Amino acid sequence: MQVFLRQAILGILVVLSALTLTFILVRLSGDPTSIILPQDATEAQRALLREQLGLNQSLVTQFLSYLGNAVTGDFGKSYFDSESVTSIVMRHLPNTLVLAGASLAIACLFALPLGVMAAVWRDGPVDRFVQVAAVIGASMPSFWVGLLLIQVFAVGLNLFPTYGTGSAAHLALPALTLAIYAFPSLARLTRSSMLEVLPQSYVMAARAKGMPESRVISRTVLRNGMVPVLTLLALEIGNLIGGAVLTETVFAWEGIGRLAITSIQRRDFPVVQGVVAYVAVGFVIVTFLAEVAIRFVNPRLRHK
Amino acid sequence: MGVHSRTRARFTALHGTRAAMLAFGLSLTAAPFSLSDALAQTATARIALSGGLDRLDPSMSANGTDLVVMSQIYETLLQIDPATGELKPKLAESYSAKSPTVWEIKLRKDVTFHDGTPLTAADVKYTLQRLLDKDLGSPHYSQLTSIKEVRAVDDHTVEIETETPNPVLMRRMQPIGGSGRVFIVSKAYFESHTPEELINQPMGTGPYKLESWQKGNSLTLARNEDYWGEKPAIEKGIFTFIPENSTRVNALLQGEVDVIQRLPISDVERVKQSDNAHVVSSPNGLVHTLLLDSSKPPFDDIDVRKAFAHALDTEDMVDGLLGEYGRVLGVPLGPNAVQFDDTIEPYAYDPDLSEKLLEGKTPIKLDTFTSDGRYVNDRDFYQVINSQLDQVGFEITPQTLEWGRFINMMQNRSGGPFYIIGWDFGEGDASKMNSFLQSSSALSVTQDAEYDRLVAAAGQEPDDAKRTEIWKQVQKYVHDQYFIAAVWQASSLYGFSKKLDWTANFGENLALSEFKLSQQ
Repeated sequence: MQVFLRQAILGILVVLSALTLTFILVRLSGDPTSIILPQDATEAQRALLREQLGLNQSLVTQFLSYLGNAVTGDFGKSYFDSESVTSIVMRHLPNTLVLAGASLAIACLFALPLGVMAAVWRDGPVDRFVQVAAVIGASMPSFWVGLLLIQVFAVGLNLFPTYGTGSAAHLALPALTLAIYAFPSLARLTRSSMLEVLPQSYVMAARAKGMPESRVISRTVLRNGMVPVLTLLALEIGNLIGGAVLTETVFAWEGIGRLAITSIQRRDFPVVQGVVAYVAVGFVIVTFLAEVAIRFVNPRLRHK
Repeated sequence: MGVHSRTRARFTALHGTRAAMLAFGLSLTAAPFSLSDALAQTATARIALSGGLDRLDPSMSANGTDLVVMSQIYETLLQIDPATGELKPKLAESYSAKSPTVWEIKLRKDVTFHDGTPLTAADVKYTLQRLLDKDLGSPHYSQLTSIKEVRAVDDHTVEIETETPNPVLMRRMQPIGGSGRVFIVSKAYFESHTPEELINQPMGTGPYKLESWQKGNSLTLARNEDYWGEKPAIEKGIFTFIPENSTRVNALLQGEVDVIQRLPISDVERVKQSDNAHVVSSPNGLVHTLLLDSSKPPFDDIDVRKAFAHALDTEDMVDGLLGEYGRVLGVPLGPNAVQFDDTIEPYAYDPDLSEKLLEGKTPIKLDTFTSDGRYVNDRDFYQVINSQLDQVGFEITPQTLEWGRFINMMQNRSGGPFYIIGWDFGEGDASKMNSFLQSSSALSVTQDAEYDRLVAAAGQEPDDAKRTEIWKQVQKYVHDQYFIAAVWQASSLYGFSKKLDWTANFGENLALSEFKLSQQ
C-alpha cells in the first residue's frame, strides 16, 4: 500500500512540474500576438490583444490563476477559435489513443515473440534478424518511414488512403509507422531481459524438476523476464506520444501529437499547456498501472 | 447531365478501391466512404487546405485559410476587375467620391442574406462600426482607422466620411489582400448571436452557405440556390486540412481530393506528368523583399547597401530556385498594383562594383537569422545570398529560427541586419509598401524622413493620376536609396484534378465559386 501511496505522490509531483515547466517554456518561446495578428499589425493592436489574452499581467498572477483553474480541470480557451481546451483535447485524444494502442499492439505482436526467440536461440538466425531489424528500425525517422509507406502502399499499390482520420483503413499506415518506431527498443529489451533470466538458478531448478522446456520458458522465464518489459511498455506510451507528433503530421491524423505541434508553432499557450497536462496525467496513470501489473505478474514484489 | 455522369465516373473509380478494402475487413467505421455515396450525385470539389480553420467571423480573422472559406460565404461592396486591376461594384451598385473625404455607396437592391433577409444600408453601417470598435480587437482595425463616420442615408445608400482624404479606403472594400478587408455582415444576425456562434456559424450573402463543420476534420459548403449573382458551377465544396506538403500532393494524385493549396514547387513536375491532375498558377503570389536594416550600421551607409545589392545575382538565383514560377522585380511592389513602375530595372549583378564600394571596409561581419519553410525555398535563398555576399567581403554567420520567434524579433526590430519577408499585394495598391518602409510601421527597418514625406502626400492625394505620379517617385526613390536589396515574386501554385479548372487571377485567393468543370 505504502508503495502505491509513494507512487501517487510522485505522480502528482511529476504533473505539477510538467505544468510549471510548460508554463515557463511556452512563455519563453515568444509573443503569441505576433502570430495571431497579421504580420504588419501595429504595436497598439498587439498591446490590446495582449491585454485581452491576459498576457500583460505579471507572470506570477498568470501562473497562479492558470494553476488554480487547472486543478479544477479548466485549461482556458484556445487563442484562435475560443473553443475550450478541454473539448479540443478530448476531440483529439481518442484518435491518438487508437493510434498508439494499435501500434503498440502491432509492435508487441512482433517484438515479444521475436525477442523471446532471439534469447532462447541466442546467436541463431532469429537473433541476427532481430538485431539487424532493431538497428534498421531505430535508425529510420518515423516521418520518413511514414512517407515511404504512403509511397508504397497508398500511392503505389493503392491499398490505403494517403491521409486522414476515420476508418481502419486510415489507421493502418500510421499505426504501422509508429509500430516500426516502437519495435526496436521492445524487441531488444525483451531479448536482454530474457537472457538475464535464463541462466538463473531457479530456471535451472525448474528444468531439473523435469519441466518441459516450453513450460520453463512460458512460466518461469517469461514471468520474471517480463517485469522490465512491462515497465518499458509504460514508458513506451510516452515515447509513442512523442513519435505520434511526426506520424500524425505526415498522415494528417487528427490526434494530440499534431495538435501539440500546431499549437506550439502558433503559440496557442492554453492548448499547449492543456495537451501537456493531459499527457502528463495519462503518463502517470499508465506508469502506476504498470507498477500494479508488475506486482501481479511477479508475486515476490507484492510484499516488498 | 454530362456533369453528373462525369462526377459519377470519378466516384465509381474510387468505390472500386474502397470496396476492395471493405472486402478485406479493413474498414470499421466507413464514415468518409458513405459520404462519397451522397456526393456522387453532385458536382463536388474536395479541397485540401494547407492549414486548419479557426474563426469564420470576417471581422475577427485575417488568416489565409479562414479567408478562403469566408470569402465564399461573405461578400464585399466592391471587387477588383482582373483585366484592368481597377475596382468595380459587387454588393454595391455604384460608388463615388462626393467630396475628398466622403464616399457615397449605392447598394444593390436584390441582395439577400442566407436567412432570407434583405441587405440594407444598416448592415453596411453596422459592419464598419463593428470593425472600428477598438475593443473588439479586429485584425482589420488598423487599416480602417481613417473612417470618421458611417451614415445610412436611406435603405440602400451609405456614406463613409474619413478624417482626411483617403483614396485607398475603397481598396479595403474588395476581398483580396489579407488584413484590412470589409466583408458585409447582417446586423440582425450578428446582434442576436454570441461571439462563439458567429465564429462557428457564418451567415452572409455569398454564393455558398455553410452546411457543416466538423472542427479539425472537414468543412462543407453548399451552393446558395437563392444567390443574387451568377450561380457557380460547383454545388458542394468540402474542405479538409493537410499540413504536410507531400501528403497533400499524394492525396491529389490519388484522387482523394480534387484541389490542393500550396503545391510545393518540387512537386510541380509530378503533378504535370500525372494522368489525373494539373497545375494552376497565378504569377501574383507573395512579393518577397530582402530588407536591409538601414537604421543601424553597417546598412546605414548607402555604399554598403549598394555593395550588398550588386553582389547578388538575383536573376540567376530566382531562375534556379523558382524557375518559371518566379520573377525578379525592380521595385518592392506587385506588378498588379496600378502604380507599378515597370521602367525601373532590378539591380545588376556586379560583384566588382561591390568590392570597390567596400574597399577599406571589409570584412563586414554580420550575425543573421534565417527562416526555413516560411516562404518558397527560403532556406536555399538564404544560402545562395550568403555565399554570394561572402565573395565580396561580407562574413555571414547565419542562424535558422522558427518563424514565430523570428517574426516577433522583426517586430521588435531585432531581426538582424537583413532578412526576407513576403507581402501579399492582392489589394493592388502601392500603399502596401508602407508596411515595410514607413518609419511608423511595425515591420519597417527603414527610418527615412523623405520616404515618409512622399507617402504622406500620396496618402491624401484624391486625384488618381497625381497619386500614381507620387508613387512612381517613391518607387524611384526607394530604388535609388537601396533600402531593399532584392525583390522577387513567387507564383501561387495549386494542384487541380483534371475534372476541374480555375483561372487564378489574384494569387492567394482560392475562389470555389469560380471553379469550372472541365470540358473533357
